[in-house]
Amino acid sequence: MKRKELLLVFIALALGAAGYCIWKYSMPGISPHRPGLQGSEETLKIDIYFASEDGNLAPEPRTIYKTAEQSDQIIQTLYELMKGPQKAGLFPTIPQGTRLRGTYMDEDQTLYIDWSRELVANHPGGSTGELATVYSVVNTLTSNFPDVKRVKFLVEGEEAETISGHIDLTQPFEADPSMNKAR
Amino acid sequence: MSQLDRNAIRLLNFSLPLVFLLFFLPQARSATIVIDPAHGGTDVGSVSESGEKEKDVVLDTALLLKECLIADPELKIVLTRNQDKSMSLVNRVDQANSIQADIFISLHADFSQSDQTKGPEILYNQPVYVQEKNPADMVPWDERQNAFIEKSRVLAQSIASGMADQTVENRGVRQVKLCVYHGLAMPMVVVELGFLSNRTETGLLSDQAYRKRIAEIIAAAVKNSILPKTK
Repeated sequence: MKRKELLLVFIALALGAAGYCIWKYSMPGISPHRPGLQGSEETLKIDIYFASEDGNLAPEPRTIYKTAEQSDQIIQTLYELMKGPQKAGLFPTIPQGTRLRGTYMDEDQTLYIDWSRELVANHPGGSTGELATVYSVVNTLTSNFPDVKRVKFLVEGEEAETISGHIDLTQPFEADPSMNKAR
Repeated sequence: MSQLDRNAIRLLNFSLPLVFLLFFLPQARSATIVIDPAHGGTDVGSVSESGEKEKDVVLDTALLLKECLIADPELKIVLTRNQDKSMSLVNRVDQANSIQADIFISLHADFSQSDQTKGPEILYNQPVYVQEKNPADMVPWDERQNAFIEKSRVLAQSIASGMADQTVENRGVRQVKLCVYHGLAMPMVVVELGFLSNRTETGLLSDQAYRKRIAEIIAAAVKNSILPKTK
């Protein structure tokens, strides 16, 4: 093979690899940074709450790595929620394109979750849909992590009034077990 | 005791109950009802698969509800918007507070992640955390709804029961953290008329006769909630 052809093959491979990286890391909810997972072998069983057909929430079991830091387990749990359900009859609650920007737990055991603007911009609306989005996060985290007493939503690093005009995001949320019951 | 005194006592005995009746019998009461068609203008709200917009469904139903209520001369009806225009939630709350309205009804159309979810639902607010009383003993703006939560619950329950009585299958009442509406200084409910994510209910909500039926049920519950007031 001539030197020029080899160069073309190399450029094609490099472009392909670059394209794959851009595609992978621009996918909704997928972050290249997963701290604390290196060397983790032990796993934990958790329940992720998704929207059910009746407009409430139902759990789906998942497995995450048992990491030294609880904050890493919380991030893994949120990624599982953002992936959406596998079971039929359950529906994703985090709007497409939403990215997790960060989490922070304060001394009052309120977990702050910072979402990208797509949480608001891509939400289909409706108080039922909005409640499912809010409490799928709150009930998933509070039921799997007893240290999390409340969850506060941030959007693009700032306090947001609401997702789609119904539910008040300015105050932290406690778990609402009534959302998990079939109506 | 002279005849004159006896007549005076008789007159007093006769007139006292009359005076009592005049002052303490329940009187018909005038009331101001604010109807709030949610969203509007560039904020279309939820949109069904077939393109039906929440802002249009709720505006038409609000106008029908106004028609049902305005027949009662004791009621003054105010719409937060009577055309397709954008309006902030704070403006809607300010408008109702500034005219000291007696009831605030916000009309919405619901949406769910599942296309199977169906049924109207009536929402009322959860109390907002009460801060320490300030020296002026004033109620902070965002805590004003706290004093009206029980009345809001009763109104919500009355609308849900009215729907059940008229065989409109509904999801009942739910107490949630409603945004901005916690500034309202009057009983308030959010009526979710049905799901635009469900094809059957989108069909119903597009039907003028169904909208009128729902408006009549809400109107009846509102009228019942305005009890005769003791003067």
